[in-house]
Amino acid sequence: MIDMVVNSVWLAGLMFAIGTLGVMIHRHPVIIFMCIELMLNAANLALVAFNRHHFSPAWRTMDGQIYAFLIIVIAAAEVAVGLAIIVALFKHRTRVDIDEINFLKR
Amino acid sequence: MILALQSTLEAGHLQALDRSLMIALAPVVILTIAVLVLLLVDYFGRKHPGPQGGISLQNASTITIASTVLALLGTLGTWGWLNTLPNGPSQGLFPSMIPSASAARWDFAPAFVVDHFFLFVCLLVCVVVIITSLNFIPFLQRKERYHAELFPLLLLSAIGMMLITGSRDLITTFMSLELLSLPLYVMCGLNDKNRLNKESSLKYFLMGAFASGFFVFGAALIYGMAGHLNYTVIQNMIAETAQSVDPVMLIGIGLVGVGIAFKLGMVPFHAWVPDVYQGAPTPVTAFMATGVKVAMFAAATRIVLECLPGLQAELWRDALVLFACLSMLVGNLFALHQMSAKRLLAFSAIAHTGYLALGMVSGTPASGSAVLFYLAGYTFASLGAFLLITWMAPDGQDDVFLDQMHELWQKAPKAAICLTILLLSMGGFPLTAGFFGKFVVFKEAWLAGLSSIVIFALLNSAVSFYYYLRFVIAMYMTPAVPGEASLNPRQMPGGYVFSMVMTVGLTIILGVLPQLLLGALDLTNLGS
Amino acid sequence: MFGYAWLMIAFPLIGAAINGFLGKKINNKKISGWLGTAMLAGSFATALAVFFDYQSRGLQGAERFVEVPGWTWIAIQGMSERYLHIDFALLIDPLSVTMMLFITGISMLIHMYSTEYMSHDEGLPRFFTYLNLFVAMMLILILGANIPMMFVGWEGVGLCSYLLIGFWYRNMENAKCGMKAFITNRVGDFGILIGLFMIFQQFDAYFRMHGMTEASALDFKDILLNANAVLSVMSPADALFIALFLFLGACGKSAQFPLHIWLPDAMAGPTPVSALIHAATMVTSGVYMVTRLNPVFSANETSGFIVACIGAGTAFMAATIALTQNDIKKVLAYSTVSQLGYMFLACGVGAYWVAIFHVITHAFFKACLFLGSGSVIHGMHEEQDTRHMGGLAKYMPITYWTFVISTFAIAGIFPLAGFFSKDEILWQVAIWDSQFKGAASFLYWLALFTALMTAFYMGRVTWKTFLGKPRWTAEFKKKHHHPHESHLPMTIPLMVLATMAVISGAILFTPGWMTGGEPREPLAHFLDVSAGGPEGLMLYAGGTGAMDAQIHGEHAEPAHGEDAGHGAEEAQGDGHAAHHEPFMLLGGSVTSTEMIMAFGSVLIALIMLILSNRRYTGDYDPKKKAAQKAFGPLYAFSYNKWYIDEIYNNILVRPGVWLSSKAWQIFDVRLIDGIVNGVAKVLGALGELIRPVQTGFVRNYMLYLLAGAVMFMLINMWSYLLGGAS
Repeated sequence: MIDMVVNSVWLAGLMFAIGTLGVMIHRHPVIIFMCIELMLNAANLALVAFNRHHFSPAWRTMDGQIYAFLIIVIAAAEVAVGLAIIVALFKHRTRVDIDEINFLKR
Repeated sequence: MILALQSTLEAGHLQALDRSLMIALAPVVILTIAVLVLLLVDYFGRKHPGPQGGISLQNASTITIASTVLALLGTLGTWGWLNTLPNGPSQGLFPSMIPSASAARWDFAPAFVVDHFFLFVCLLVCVVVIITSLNFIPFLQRKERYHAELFPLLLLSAIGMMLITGSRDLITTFMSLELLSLPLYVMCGLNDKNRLNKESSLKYFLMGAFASGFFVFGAALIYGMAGHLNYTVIQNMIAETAQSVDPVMLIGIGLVGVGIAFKLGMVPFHAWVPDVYQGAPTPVTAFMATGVKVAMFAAATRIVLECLPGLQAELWRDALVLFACLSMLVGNLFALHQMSAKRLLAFSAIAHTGYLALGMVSGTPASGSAVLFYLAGYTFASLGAFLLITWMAPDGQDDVFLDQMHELWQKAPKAAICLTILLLSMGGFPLTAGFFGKFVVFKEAWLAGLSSIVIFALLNSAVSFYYYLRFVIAMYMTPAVPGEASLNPRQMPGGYVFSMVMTVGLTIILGVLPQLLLGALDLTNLGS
Repeated sequence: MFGYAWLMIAFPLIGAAINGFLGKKINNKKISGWLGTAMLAGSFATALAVFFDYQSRGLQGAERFVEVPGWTWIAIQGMSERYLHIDFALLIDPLSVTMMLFITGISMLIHMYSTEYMSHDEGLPRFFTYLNLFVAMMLILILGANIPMMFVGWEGVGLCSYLLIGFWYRNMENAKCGMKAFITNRVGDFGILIGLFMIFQQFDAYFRMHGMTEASALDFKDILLNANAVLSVMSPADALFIALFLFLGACGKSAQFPLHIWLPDAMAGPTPVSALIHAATMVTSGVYMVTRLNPVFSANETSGFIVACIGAGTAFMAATIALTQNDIKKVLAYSTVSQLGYMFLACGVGAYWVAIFHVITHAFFKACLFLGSGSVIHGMHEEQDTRHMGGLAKYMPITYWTFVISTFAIAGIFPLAGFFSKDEILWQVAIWDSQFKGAASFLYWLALFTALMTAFYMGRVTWKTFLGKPRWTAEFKKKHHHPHESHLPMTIPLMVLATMAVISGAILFTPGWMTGGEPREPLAHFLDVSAGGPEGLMLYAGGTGAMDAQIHGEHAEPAHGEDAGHGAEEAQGDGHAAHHEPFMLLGGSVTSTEMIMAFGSVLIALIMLILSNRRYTGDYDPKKKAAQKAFGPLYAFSYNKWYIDEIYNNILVRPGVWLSSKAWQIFDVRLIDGIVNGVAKVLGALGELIRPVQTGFVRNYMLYLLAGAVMFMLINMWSYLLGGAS
């Protein structure tokens, strides 16, 4: 069982790395945003896995899982806000590429 | 099991569950109700869906200001009330069950704490909200945009700022952090026709979400090591394994640190600050630059003092000191050549983050109150300066550039004097709040043994006078070039006048009689 | 206990605020002026209340120092084990009560006078703003409970003095006079700052060593209560330096040689200012400061001797200069310098209460003289030259008579105020008991000769102005025909002050030879703890006041018991003990000596007044230049003020200007500016260099963030990584 926890956490780490890398290389805000979601989900996975590790049968501690749910809620709220912002940007452009958005600099 | 729970409760944790203590959350509760009222009135006030109808700008701002004043009074009331409580002025709320150090039994630890530290931040946030709201109406009217929804967003963000200060649990911290940030992302893009607004909004959002990804993953790793996210647990865990803290724990602390340092605008997590500050509508920038900084520094200080003190190697401290130095240096260097006042203030905010971080990492018992004093001084100066920019900006432009400042002294002497005082305070000129803020913060850092860093910081604040005075000189001494786009000083609306009197007055009062606040702040020292 | 004493400062501050911020809006000179006056009346009433309250409480010994808490001004914790704590608090003690009474009283009268005197001036609200602010600052100076507060007042009155000297700033000369005063005072401030720092250093070290965590080395009460103990362990050189540096500050403020040069020029300000600031109050703050810190001056006889010498020397020098001046205000200004010299002479010989006594009497008659001269100037339509006056007595009777009374008072004619205070100073010099006793006789003769000259030059200016033939300018005669007497708001203060100049001396002190036994000295009794020298301070231990301590020496600290008795006698002023014999005995006994000396000086003064009367009335004509011809170089020496301005100009100012211009060229322009500009250039270039880093691309920003995160974690795990490697 410990192995499973460890493997899950490794997987979570991998997901986090992939998400981070995706944020770095992609140019479309929606895809970047999806990569960020991947990072959050990596954290969720880690939390759930760790909960397994810390689970106390006597007290039925579910802290990690509850944390995961809270983070999902936050992620959902972020989606709502983020998509709205991206849509607002779309309104006056045909193409959205974050490498073209650099009026503010230096 | 239940018996065990009850026996634990009777063992002295009943106080933590006392419902009457919820009164201590008065400011948060009042603002939450105000948000609900605003949203409901807005919804039911509409005859048909669409941008028309709904709550009027005036009503929305009146409700906002009234409720914030109420919250302010509530905070003041709680300030005194806390001292009368039998079990000390620090009240834990929302207890969660945590594994105790001995692992044989379980303890309760609050996820949220109401103490004077929290209340003082509430006070500052209330002042920021009141002054910002007062200045939104003329701003929005001038832009001929109708955005009553701005006020509930403002209040929501303010609630987040308050909650994050009292939080004693990383998950609560994270939730509050998002509650604080999400409305700000929207507020930055207030005007969806304005290219700068939209750009700043998107940049802020993407960077912010990215940084919160780091925070959450770090929190997950810490949970994995400690078994809970409560500060008490983390502190115990660190204390237990003082000599050989697990590397995963260190990575977790680092990642959480990244999430917080991002919000603080510390170099190298700072790159969003100038772009977002410059692009956002100026009153929003004012709110962001002050409220977020206050809340995040308060939260960070609490983490440093209540979560990390047991960490033996203290390498996190070295990292933060390095980032603080970088912040001062980079902030000041970038600010030297800025022509835009908003961008200048943004870079100076980065430099201020560096000074503040010194006080924060010093970790001495009085560092909490020192940071709060600095924050108060910085808040008033920065708020006032941004509001002056809002007021002075020429039509069709939401910023002021250096060459537009020429001869401001002749055109609007009062504004010039106010701006001079505020800029001097930011630079840390004696007899202003900024001076004593720097003094107390550097003092704490010095006592913590960071003397060479303090000298570095002093040199940096000397450099900072260069760009502050550059603007001051432009206002008084440089003749205006005819034909140049210049400011058109308007009649100052009442709200602006009140705000200027408040900010400039407090800047000077705190500079001349710092003891008024320093005395009160003695209560806010965080115990570890 | 005396919380309401704050009102005394609050009233003028409120007045200053109203006139300063709303003066232009009110736009009514009557309201502005009388508002300022009313505020001072409130202040004076408060001062009276404090005085009677203080008296009725019958406080004893150390209780006589009452601290009135205000609020914490600065409190800095953590820099040392004893943390710095400075309160905004008032110290009500005999000295401050005495000072505040006459300061508020005279200020009120002069404010009233100014409502009329300045009524034609556009800047009247500004004038009253400064004047009210000055009084507030002066009260902070004398009432401040600690050194920093006194310094705030010290600088505050300096600022107000500067603003008021240059009140008519459109005239460049006036502005220059203001600057001269300010700069000269800076030299003194350098001294007082060093002195105060040294006091802090010495006392703080002592308190620290003895674990007196409650005592503050900035607090007058703590300083005075522990002064004898601290001074007994302090090295004599330190005590001497402290005293001399403090005295340098006093010299600046109180216009003593070599820093006296600003006061005569300060007469460029409006005459009420000259009366209030440059005669009655501010210039005496040096005397106040010396008295306040008198243990430091008494600790070392050398310092006392230097103070006495400078005082007597300045008194003599200023009197010789006053002999030949023609400007009515200049004569009075030098006379002020001269009288201040007397006060320091008294301080130097350890008779601090006598110095304060002379401060009070001088305040009355000198204020009256200045206001009288103002009245004359007013009546003569801005004429200040006595050569163009004469025969005014007929047209300005009230001014004339008050002026004459004050002249008699300053000349020391019995039984006017000046007689008592000046003679007491002379007597204290005569009986000064120290290693410098021999030199003291010389100081006595010098002071006596100065008194002679005082009578002469005061007679000269009085008779020249008011008697004799009118020598008015043709222009004046054509325009105004003849001078006019001033209105009531100006003459009432004159009359009140003249009355005080008559009675204040006899009220406060009567020497032993007049009472036929013990001297009657209420002022000395009142001032015992504050102005009794170091021995007076020992009375705290006794706790029963001066008289009792003198009789029951056992109340005093055992180790210094003998000194306490001795000191109490000195605090009495003219003790009749053997070691307080004058340097010569006339008529065989101390009492008869005192009496003979007093009669002698009155006689001299009378002769001088009569002589001057003969000389300057009748067919006196300045055009004959009789004095110039008779005294030649001596006259020129006096007329040109001993050439001190010229000497300073050639020795200090010109080389200073040359040096500073060279220093500016070499150090400032080349070195400092070079370095500063160089640094700015380097930093600016650096800033420009790194600016492209802020690309504006989110992806770059995210890369920075990631790099930072990696850096953060690497540093965090540094020791772990190292440990893993090894």
